[in-house]
Amino acid sequence: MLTSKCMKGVNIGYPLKIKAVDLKESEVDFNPDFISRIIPKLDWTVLISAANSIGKNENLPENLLPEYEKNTEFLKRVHHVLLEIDVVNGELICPESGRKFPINNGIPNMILNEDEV
Amino acid sequence: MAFPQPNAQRDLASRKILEELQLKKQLLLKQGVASSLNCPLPPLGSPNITTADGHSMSSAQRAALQTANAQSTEELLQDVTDFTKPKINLEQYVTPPHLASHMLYTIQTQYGDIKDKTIADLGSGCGALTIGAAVLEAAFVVGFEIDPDAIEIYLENIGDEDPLNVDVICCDVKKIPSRFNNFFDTVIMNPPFGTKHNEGIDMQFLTRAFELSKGAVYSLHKTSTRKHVLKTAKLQGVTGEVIAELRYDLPSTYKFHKKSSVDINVDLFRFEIN
Repeated sequence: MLTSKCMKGVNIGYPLKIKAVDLKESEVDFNPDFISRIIPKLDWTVLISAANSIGKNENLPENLLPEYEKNTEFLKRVHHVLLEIDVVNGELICPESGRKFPINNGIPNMILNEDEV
Repeated sequence: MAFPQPNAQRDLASRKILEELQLKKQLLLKQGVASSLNCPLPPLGSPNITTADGHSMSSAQRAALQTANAQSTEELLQDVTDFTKPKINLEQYVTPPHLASHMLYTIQTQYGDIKDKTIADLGSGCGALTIGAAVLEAAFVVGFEIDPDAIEIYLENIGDEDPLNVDVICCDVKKIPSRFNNFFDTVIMNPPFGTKHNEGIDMQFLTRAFELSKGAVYSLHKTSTRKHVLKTAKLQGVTGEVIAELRYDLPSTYKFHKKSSVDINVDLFRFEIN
């Protein structure tokens, strides 16, 4: 979840900073294949700093492990950070403009006013 | 009763939908797996048969849908509330439950493009396709919707518990960052049809879908625009085909609609992204 939210920022600056007011942790079925496939699509450094910024690093390493797809324990931790932690309420903050995008009920609102386009 | 429905009661209703979702998911998956084994792809040029409920599709597709028991998903999606205050400038029409369930079943049973896939729903609205794809065990679904009011209804539809691998982002589909290009295995959508001062929006959705997907794009378009849709795709170097002709029983949504409901012929397209 964090990833897609970070990825949203690319129009106006990347990565967005996350300010989490409410965090929710829930249990989602673990799908190792999906996690393995999604990892190469992520900006690992951004994921780590995003996880750090909300205090949910889960001991993920700064650099992606080699042969991570065989490391179930590692994949489980990535799974937890990606899918099981949800910023329910908070803000995404553009690193350049400081523009804040609200997150309500887990839904980031990226709509800009007409004068901001 | 003239009293507004208390929140607690609505929460209870949401929870019921959710429980039903979990139950049916198991059932549907078993059926889905079975039918995908038994159901070969329809031969090219196989005759279209119009079913009793007004859907025209090849016999193989029909068989697949029947085996898969699309009815269950339809019942499930019946509980999905639609737009309370539709906005004509966004051309908001709900995706009818039977249309959504038939569409998703065809996509899963014929092409296997839902289960375990990363999916985007462009213009996800109240979430019929988003929720439906999640029920059919997509690995992850992202709904993109510009209208916060529609997202409110979506949130009511999923209830409190939100156990699904679904993320909805409130943004303009045209402004989805390029970082998402080729990110999704499958893009599904029921885009605005591009009428009412919105000319061309359907093709903008389609073009963006081609960029976002690295596998397939499924989209509904008015049958009357079929040639135009195929031409637009060809210009992008994408080949498409109509995999089902459906009838969109559009209930009167806006005041300017004179009839209580009107049937619109729509095509379900499948585009293959290379």
